[in-house]
Amino acid sequence: MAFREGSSSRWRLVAVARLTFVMALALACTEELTTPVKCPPNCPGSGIIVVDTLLDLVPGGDTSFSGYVGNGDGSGILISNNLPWADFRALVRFPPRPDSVAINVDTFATYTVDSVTLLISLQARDTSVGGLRLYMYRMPVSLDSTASFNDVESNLIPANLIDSIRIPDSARSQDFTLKFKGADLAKIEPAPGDSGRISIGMRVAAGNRQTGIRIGSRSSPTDAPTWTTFVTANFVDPSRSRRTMQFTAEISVTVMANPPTPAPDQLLVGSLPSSRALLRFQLPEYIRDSAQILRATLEMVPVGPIYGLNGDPATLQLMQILTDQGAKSPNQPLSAAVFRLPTSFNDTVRFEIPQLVGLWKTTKTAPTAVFLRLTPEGASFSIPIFYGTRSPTGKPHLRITYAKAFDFQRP
Amino acid sequence: MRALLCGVGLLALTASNAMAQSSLFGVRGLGLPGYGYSARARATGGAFGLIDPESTLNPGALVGVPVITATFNVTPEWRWTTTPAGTGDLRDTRFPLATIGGPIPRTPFNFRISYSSYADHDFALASADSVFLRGETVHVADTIKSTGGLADIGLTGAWRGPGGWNIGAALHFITGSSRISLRRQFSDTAFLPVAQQTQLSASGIGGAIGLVRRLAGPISIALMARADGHASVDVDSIHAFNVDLPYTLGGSLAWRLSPRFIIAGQGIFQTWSSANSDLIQAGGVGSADTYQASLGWEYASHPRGPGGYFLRLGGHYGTLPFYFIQGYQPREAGVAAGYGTRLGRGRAGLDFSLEYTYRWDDAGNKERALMLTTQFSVRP
Repeated sequence: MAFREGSSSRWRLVAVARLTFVMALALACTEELTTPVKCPPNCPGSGIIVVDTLLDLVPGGDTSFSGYVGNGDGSGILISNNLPWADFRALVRFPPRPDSVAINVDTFATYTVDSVTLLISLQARDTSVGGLRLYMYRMPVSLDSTASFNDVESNLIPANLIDSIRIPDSARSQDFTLKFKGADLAKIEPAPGDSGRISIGMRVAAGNRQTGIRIGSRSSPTDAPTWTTFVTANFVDPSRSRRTMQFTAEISVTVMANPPTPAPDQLLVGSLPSSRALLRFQLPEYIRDSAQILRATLEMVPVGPIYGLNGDPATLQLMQILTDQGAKSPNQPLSAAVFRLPTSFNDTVRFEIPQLVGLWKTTKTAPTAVFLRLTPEGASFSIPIFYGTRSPTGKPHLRITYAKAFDFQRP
Repeated sequence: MRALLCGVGLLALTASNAMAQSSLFGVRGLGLPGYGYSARARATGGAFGLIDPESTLNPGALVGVPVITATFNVTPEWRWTTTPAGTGDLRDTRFPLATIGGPIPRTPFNFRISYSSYADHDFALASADSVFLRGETVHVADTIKSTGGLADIGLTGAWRGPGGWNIGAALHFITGSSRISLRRQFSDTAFLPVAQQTQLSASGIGGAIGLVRRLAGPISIALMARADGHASVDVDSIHAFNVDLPYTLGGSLAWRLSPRFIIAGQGIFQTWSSANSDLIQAGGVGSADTYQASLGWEYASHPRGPGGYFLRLGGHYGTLPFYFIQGYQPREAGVAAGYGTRLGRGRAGLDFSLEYTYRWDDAGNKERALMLTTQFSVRP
C-alpha cells in the first residue's frame, strides 16, 4: 500500500513539474504592448530633440569636369529639329570597304555590288510628336569626330540626300533598314578617292514641330549603325562567289548648334562630351559625434529651366567617390541618390542622401564628396547647369534633419 | 547534493530574466521595488513576508527552512493602465524569485543564496505628437522601452538561538542594468526613424538583520532592518550619478489561532526620500518614503504532516516611492488568495497566488494588475 501511495505521489509530482515547466515557457512567450503616456513629462529622459539645419558645401570645393564620356562614346547619338535648348545633328562614318573579297586563304577576287543595306536603330523618341522622318545625307569622309555643327549642317542639302525613313507614330524603339540596289546604289556607294569609306549625316523632321530622336551609336552593343554590302565575286566557281561585307560605324557623333557655356561659378552636368560636377561637403563635429541623421537633402538650384525630350527622360545621379583625386576620383559603381528629371523642370533639385551622410558620419576616412552626373551619359537631351558655391545666389546646400543624443540618464 | 545542483541550475536559468512585476509606476526613478516575497507571502497580501522562511525579506525567518530547499517563482501578469493620454492592455511574464538554502548539518545555522528583484525597470511607453519640420507639420509616434532592473543577490545566514530567538543577517549585492531603447516614427517616411538605445547599470551593497521569536503562547513577532547604502549608476559604462538607497524597517505579528490557522499582520517602512535629491539633481522627478501594511491568514489542512494543502488570503495597502508626476505619490492596494500543496511526502511543493492590485496617483494615472505566481520548490 505504501509503495502504491509513493508511486502515485511521484507520478503527481512529475506531472505537476512538467505542467509548471510548460506553463512557464508558454507564458514567457507573450506579447508586449505599450502604455500610452504624454512625453516628455511622463517619460524618463530629456525628450527627443530634432533639429533641422542648413549646411554650406565647402566653398570653392565644387567644380565641373568634362570628358568622362566622349562625343559618340555614349550609348546613343542625338538628332533634333530646332529644339530651343539643344539643336542636334548626327554624323556617322563607316570604315573602308575593301575592293576585293577572299575566296581562299591566298586567293582574292574583285566583286560586283548587288545591293547595300543601312541599319539604323531608334532608341527613343518624343512620343507626343507624330509624322517623324529621318533624313540621311552623304557627307565628306574627311569629317570626323571633331566636326562642328556647321560642318555637318552645311552638307545637309538636297543634292546630298540619300534617302529618308518614315518613323511610324507607334514606334518607340525599333530597327529600320534601308535597302539600295540597281540605280540607287550610286547614292550609297563610296566615291572614288574615299578609300572605300562612306559618311552619312542625319537630321530629323516632323513638319514644323520641334522634336528629337536618339539612335544607337557605334558604342552601343546591339544598336550600332550598320552598313552591309552584298556582292558577287568575280570568280570561276559561281557557287562560291556570293559574299557579304558588314561594317559598324567607326565614328558616330552628335554635333550641337550652341554648346552650353556655363559661367565659372556654375556647374555643368551632362552635355557632350559629358561633364560631371564634383561636390565637397563639410560635416560639423557636433553632427559627426552625436547626432542621428534622420534626413539629409542636397539642394541644388538650376541656373535656368532644365528641359528634356518627352519620352526620353534623363536622370541625375549622385555617386559617392572612393578617394578624392579631383576630376579622376574613382567613384562607387552604384549611385547614392537619383533624381529623375521631368521634361521641363525649373525648381530646386533635391537629392535625399541620409545613408550617404550616415556613412560619412560613421566612417571618418570616407571622403565627404560626390560626383553629380547625368544618365544616359553622353546621350541625353537634358543639359542641367547649377549654381555653384562661388555663385552669389543659389548656392547648393545640404539640409540635415537630425536627432540629438537622447539624455537617457534622467531617471 | 542533487538538490543543490538542481537549485543552482534553476538560479542560472532565471538569472537573465528574474524581475518583479512591472508597472506604469516603475517607469521613473529606479523602478518598482520588489520585496522578495514567495508565493506564500504574496497570497497573504505580503502579510507573511517577514515570517515566511522562503521569502528573502527577513533573514531571521530563514531558520524556518527545515531541509535544503530550492525554490523558483514564475509570475505572468496582466495589466490595464489608464493615463490622461489613453488606455493600454499589457501582458508579460517574469521570474521574481529564486532561492536555494537550508540548514548547515550539525550546526544551529541556516544558509541561503537568493536572487530576487530589487527594483523592476521594465516598461514600454508610447506617445503621439506632431512636430513642425521643413515647413510642414509631421506627426510622430514615439515609443520608449526598457528591459531590466536591479536584482538583489542575497547571502543570508540565520541562527537558531536558545529561547526561541531566531536571528539572521544578510548581505545584499544590488546589481543590474536596464536596456532602454527609444524610437520615433515619422508620418512622412522621408524622415528616417529616430532609434537610440543605451544601457543604464547600477550597483550597490546592502545589509540586513532580522529576527523571529515566538512570544507568549501562539503569538510570534518578526522584526527586520536593512540598509542599502547607495547605488552607483552608470550610463553605457560611464559613471553618471549616485542614488542613495533606503533604510527599510519592518515588523510583523503572527497569531496561531489553532494548529491549522494563522493570521498575521505586517508593516514595512522604507526611506526612499533619501533618493529624492539625487534623482532630482539627475533630472528625474524624485521620490518619497513608503510604507506598506498587510493583513492575511493561512489555513493548513495537515499542520503536522508533510502532505496536505494550504489556503491563503490577504490584502495590502501602501505607497510607492517614485513619482510618475512630480508631487503625486503613487499608492497601491491589493487583495490576494492562494493555494499550496506538498508532494512526494513533502519533498516538493507547489504554491500558487493570485493577486489583484490597484495602483493610482492623484494625477489621473491608474493601473490594475492581475498576477498569477507559481512557486515550485524542491526538498530532497
